[in-house]
Amino acid sequence: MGFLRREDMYWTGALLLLFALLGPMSVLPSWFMLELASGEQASRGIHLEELINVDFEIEVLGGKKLQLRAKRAIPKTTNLGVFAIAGQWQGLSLQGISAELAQESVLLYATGLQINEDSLRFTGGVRLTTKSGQGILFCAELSLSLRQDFIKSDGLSILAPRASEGGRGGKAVQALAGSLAEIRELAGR
Amino acid sequence: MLAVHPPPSGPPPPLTALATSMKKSLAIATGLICFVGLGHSCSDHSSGVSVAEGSVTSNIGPAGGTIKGPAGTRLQGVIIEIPAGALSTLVTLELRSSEDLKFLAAKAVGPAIAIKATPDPGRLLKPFKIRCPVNVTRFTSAQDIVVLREIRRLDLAGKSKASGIAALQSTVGLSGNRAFFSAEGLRFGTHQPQLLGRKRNVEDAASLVAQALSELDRRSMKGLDQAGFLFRQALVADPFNVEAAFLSATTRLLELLVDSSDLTTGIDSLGELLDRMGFQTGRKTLLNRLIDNDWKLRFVQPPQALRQSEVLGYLDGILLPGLAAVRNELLSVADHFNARIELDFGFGANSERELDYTDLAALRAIVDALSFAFEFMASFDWDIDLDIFAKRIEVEDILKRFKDLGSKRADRMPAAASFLHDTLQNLIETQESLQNETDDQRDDVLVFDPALDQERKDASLENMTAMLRSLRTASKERIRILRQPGRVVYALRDFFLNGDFSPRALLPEFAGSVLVANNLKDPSLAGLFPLMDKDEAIARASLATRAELPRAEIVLDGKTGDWPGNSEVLQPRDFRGDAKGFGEIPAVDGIAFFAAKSKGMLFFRVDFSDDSPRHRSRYATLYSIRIKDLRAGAAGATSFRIVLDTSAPLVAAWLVPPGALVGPTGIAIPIPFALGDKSFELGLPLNKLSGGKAQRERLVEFSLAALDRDNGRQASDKFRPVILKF
Repeated sequence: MGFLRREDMYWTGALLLLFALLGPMSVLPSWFMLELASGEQASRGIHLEELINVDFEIEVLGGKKLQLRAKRAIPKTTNLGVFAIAGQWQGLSLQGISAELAQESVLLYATGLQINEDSLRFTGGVRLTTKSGQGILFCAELSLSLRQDFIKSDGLSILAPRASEGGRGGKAVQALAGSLAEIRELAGR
Repeated sequence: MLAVHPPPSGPPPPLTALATSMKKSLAIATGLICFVGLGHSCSDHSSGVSVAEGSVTSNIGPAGGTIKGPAGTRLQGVIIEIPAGALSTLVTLELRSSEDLKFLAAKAVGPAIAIKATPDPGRLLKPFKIRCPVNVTRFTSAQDIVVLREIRRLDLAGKSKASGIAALQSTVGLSGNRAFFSAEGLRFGTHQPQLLGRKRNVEDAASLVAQALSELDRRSMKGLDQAGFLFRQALVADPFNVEAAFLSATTRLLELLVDSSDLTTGIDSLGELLDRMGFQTGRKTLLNRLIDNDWKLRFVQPPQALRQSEVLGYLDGILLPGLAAVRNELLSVADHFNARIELDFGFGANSERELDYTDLAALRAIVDALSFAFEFMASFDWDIDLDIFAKRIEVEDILKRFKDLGSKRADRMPAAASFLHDTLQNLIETQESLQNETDDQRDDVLVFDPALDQERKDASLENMTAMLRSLRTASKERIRILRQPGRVVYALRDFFLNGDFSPRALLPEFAGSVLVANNLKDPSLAGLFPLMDKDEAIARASLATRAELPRAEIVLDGKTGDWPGNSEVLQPRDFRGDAKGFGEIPAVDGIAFFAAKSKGMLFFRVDFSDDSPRHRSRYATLYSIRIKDLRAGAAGATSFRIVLDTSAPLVAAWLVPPGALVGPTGIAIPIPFALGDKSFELGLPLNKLSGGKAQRERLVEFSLAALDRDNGRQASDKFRPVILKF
């Protein structure tokens, strides 16, 4: 007697396995795969077990260029319950993130970054500051849309914080979302 | 220890010495014996006369052993050798003669031998050897072959799952004098040597497989079609090309999941089914979606509701027969399957990967799981379910019809149970096979998740084995799979047929669209969870509860002595230590919620497990109480949020209208509050609530969010909703 959770059945995962046989199938956006394939990235091993100091430029917020540097990039395999498909990336774990939106004179720092098809999700102590270091936003997770000017933080965010001091002195706001200009206006920057 | 059991009333020993004139009458007698059911198959492949059926049992354990067919029976000359290490536990092995296996274009040339082990060990750790007598007088061609055919029977539904397994694991083959055929196998079952009428064109098959792979490499629908055709041609040339069988099954499965456009009436592809259900897939085919991992399906109300007859027509007419064909093809791939395939992971450098039994078992598990899922789906009453999905009928209607859900086609359940059984069996074999692999793992397709330790892997295996055991031990009359939203429950039928069971007891009451649990009649879900009491069921399912709002004069001073006992409105209390990701952050684990009213004021109090929610420079924390009208359609319906903000040194509480940000916007209205020892309390002037003076039921929910400024981590907690009238 008991119950099976859907995930126990590996239905979704099992399908992934099936289609891995026909490859290429990656949940990483194709543009990022091409970027990695064409660049001269430092890598170890034929399956690119780790990349070090990954620099790339992508367009975010509907056309703004973001210069991004990750200290380390570790591929995550596609997991199916206790199994995994060797060499098949489910995503990249990017660590030690610093980025610059030159057009807007905005800097961004975070511990980690997840690359999705239509957004970048920064995690862990995300700091958005002006180029001169004035804090705009401090939060635990922040999503930047790639296609439109839209920034979103589902958790607790501190607006206009003193960036170097962990967001002290700012206003606490829950579930913040808007364009970069709107958020800067709310933060008074 | 061998124990020979000659049948008590079987036919006489071999009669080769009898005169020709006796044969006719003997044949009549033999026919009579067959007629009354004393024998399964009465032909003898060596002499053309009847001989005794035979059976023999033996206990064999990890040390291995040999079992021989008893002399004077059809099993005479049969030898089964189990090597040491093939079995992990002691089993009782029974060897008996069986009816002939039926395969097209093949002729039986020896006895059918059923080998049954109790308990069933599944796939052996090492191959056992089987030698059986054959009568092969002559070959018609040099390419004719003798194979050992195998069929597996699963006990669950008493039916054969495998139409036939070509077990060409022959290491010895036909003996020089053509008297015996020897082979190796990894599963017990029923085996019979047969002469294959078809020639093998090994080279042609290999060439066709190579062509098919290059077609597959085009990664297009056309390439997929062509590859499938070529793989099947390869199987015609050589039915024992395991690579062709594996890849043919794979392409067949892919073809089943592709939504080809058509002009015929009725649903005839998975894409069309999704479309009719209201999931718009856009221009991309399912295959392209899978390759691109593009799953942005949009749900729109279908213009014409999907009817049950259409779903069943597609499932029974196309999808399930298609899956059965794939399953049969996979079952024809022998367990010693091993192939190499080029896989392109998108980096320009192709890598050659090894496909082996692990991948075969995993693919079998996929097909069985899909068959289970669709067979299970076929047991739904889709006419009703879709209406519910589209919110076309009222909750009361759902309750009236609830007893019908999942019971209309209960006859589908045994097949679903059988597929679930096979899924689990194949998943277990996938894991065991991977665990037992000793060769170089670097070129494998399927590996263990490197992040998992052995303990997690063992737990997974144990879990699946326990579920399989429970499916096996319940007799087929008693087992039944039930349907519940979001999960599959399998339980003993007794609970539902013989018990005092009412489907209504499974559901709480509804208030609008909110599930209310005050009168939860049967938290054990008809005995499925015998130890579950009402409080646990409410907490686990996060159900709302109604509460009376007591009158009390509360002084907002941080002291809790003026709160009456009946003001604790969240019953049962919230779990202690259930806050998410809180780590070191204090006062984020709320445990109790109180409410009371006096003339013109509404009071709320929240208690915490560890500390007071005061300001700390390191942490920013917001505590929220959301209030919204229960009936969304009520006139003047609205919602508010009360926020206690401890992120700044000047702690403040606000009433926040919907959609407004806290603090900087200036829309929020300050309200009185007080911080206590491990609690806060606040008061809300009732005249600040808009929507008229009429009392109405409102849903009240507490939540909090906190941010650690030093490491950027966040924490949160929330209570189940409470329904209060004010």
